[in-house]
Amino acid sequence: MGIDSVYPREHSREERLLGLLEGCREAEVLTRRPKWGDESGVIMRRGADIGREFFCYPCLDRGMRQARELIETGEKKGSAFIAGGVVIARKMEKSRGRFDRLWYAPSGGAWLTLVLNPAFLPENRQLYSLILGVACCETIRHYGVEANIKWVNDVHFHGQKLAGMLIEGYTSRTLGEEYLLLGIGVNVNNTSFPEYLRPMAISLRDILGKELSLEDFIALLLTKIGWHIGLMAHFEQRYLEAFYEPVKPANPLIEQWKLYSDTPGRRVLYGTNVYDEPLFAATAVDIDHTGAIILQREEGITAREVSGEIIYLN
Amino acid sequence: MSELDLDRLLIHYREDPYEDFVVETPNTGWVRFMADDGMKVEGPRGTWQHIPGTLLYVLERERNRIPVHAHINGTISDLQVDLNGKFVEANTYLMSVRHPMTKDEVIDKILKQVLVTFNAPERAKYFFPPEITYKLEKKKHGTVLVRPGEEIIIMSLMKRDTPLIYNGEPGIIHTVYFQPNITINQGEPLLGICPPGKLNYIRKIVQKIQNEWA
Repeated sequence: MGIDSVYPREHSREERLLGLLEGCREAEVLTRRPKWGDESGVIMRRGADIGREFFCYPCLDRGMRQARELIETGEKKGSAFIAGGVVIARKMEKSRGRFDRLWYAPSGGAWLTLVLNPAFLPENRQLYSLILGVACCETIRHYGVEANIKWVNDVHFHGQKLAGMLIEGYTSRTLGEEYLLLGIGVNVNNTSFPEYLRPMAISLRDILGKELSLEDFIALLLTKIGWHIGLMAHFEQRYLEAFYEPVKPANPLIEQWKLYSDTPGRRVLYGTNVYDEPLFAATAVDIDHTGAIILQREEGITAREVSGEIIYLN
Repeated sequence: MSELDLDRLLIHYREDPYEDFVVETPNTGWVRFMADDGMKVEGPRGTWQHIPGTLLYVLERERNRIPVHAHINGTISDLQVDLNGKFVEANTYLMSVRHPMTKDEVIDKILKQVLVTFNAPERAKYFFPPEITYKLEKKKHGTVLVRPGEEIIIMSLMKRDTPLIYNGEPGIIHTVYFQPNITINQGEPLLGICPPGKLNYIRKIVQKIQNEWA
C-alpha cells in the first residue's frame, strides 16, 4: 500500500508472516475437514481476509493509534484501508487497555491490532469479542496448554492471565468508513512482569519452559481468527436461510466458547469497570445466544449483562 | 427550532397526564400472558435497575422461555387476550402500559421537543470519555459545549468500545438521560443537546412548568 509512517517497518517479517499464514490455513482446513467436510475450505476462504497485509514494527507506542494513523494516511491518498490488515509490534511502550488501564507489552509477546470492516449482521457484531477469545484459546491449546476463557474473552491458565483483547470501533475522519480495531495481546515468550502484575499474569514460556516461534504463533492465531470469522459468516447465511423456520440453527461459536470457558458455575464479582467499581456478586449461570452473561444473584434475581467484566471469586 | 405553544402543551398534559408504552414481541414465539387488563404493574427497581419489573408475559421459542417484564410502572391496557397461547411473529402488539407522568417526566417530554436528542445506536452500556466527564464535573450545569466531530460518548458492548461522534449542530449538553452502569435500549435518548442561543428559552420552559404543574 505504500503507506508512510514515522515508525520503520520490518518488511522481511511481513513477508515471512504472509508465507506462514498460507501454510497454516491449508493445515487448518485439513484439521477441520473431519467435522465440516468440504465446507471447511469454503469457511476458511470466508475468513481469508485476515492477514491480507502486515505492518510490522520493532516498536510502537500504541498499536491502535498506529492502525488509526495508517487508515487516515491511506484514505487521504484515496484508498480505504484493506480489511484484514494487521499491525504488529515487537514491543509497545504506551499501550492501554480499557478504562485507560496500563497494558504491559514488552518484547517477546504477541501484540497485534487487526483492522476489519464490520461485516456481520448488526445483532452479531458483539460476537467479534467471543471470536477473539475462542481463537486465542484454541491457539494456546494447540501448544498443549489447557487455557480457559473468562467472560468475555480473557484467556487464562489457572487464574493467571495469558491473553487479553479489546475492540474499538473507529469511523475514519477522511472517508467516514467504519472500522473495528481488534487489539490482541498474548504473553508468549515474555517472562518478566512488573511487581503488581506478577501474581495475575503468566506467559506460555513460563508454562512450557521453552521459547516458541512468535511468527508461528501469530500465523496460527490469525488463521484461527479467520476460521471463526468465516464460520460466523457461514452460520449467518444458514440462519438467514432458516429465518422463517420455527427452529433456527445453533451458533457454533457459542458452543465453542462454552467448551473452552470455565465461567459458567463460578461465583463472580461483576461491574462495568469491576476493578475500580464492583457492582455485585453473583453466580455466572451461562451465556445466551448473543454472548450476554446470565448472572444469578442471591436475591433470586437473574441479570443478563451485555457489557462489563467479571472477577472470579472461587 | 420553532418555539413551542407551551400553554397548549400544558393544557394537553393536564388533561391527559399519561404516556402509553407499547409492548410488542421482540421475536417470534408462543405467548403466555402473565398480566391482566387493568392490572397495576411496576418497572425495574434497585440501584442498577437490576430488580426486574412485573412479569407481563412469557415468550417461548425453541424450548427457551423468555420472561418479559414491565419497563415502567403503570396500568395494563388494551391486552390482546386472543393472542394468549398463540404463536406470534416478531413485533406483534400485545398490550400497552399506561404510565402516569410525574412533573419531571412532563418537563423531560416537553424538553425533548426542544432539545436535539442523541440516541443510543444499540442496546449497550454508555459512558463519557474522560475529557467530557472532567468537563461535566468541573463546569457549571448547562455550560459544556459539544461540537460536530467530537467524541462525546463511548458505547460499550461485550468489550467492544465504540466512540460515538457528535454530528449535530454545536450545542450545550443540557440533559444526560443515561447512567453508566445501566444498559440502555436501542433508540433511547442518551443526551439532550441545546443550541447555545436557546438556553434561556429552555430555562423559561422549565421554570414555567415547575410553577404551573400541580
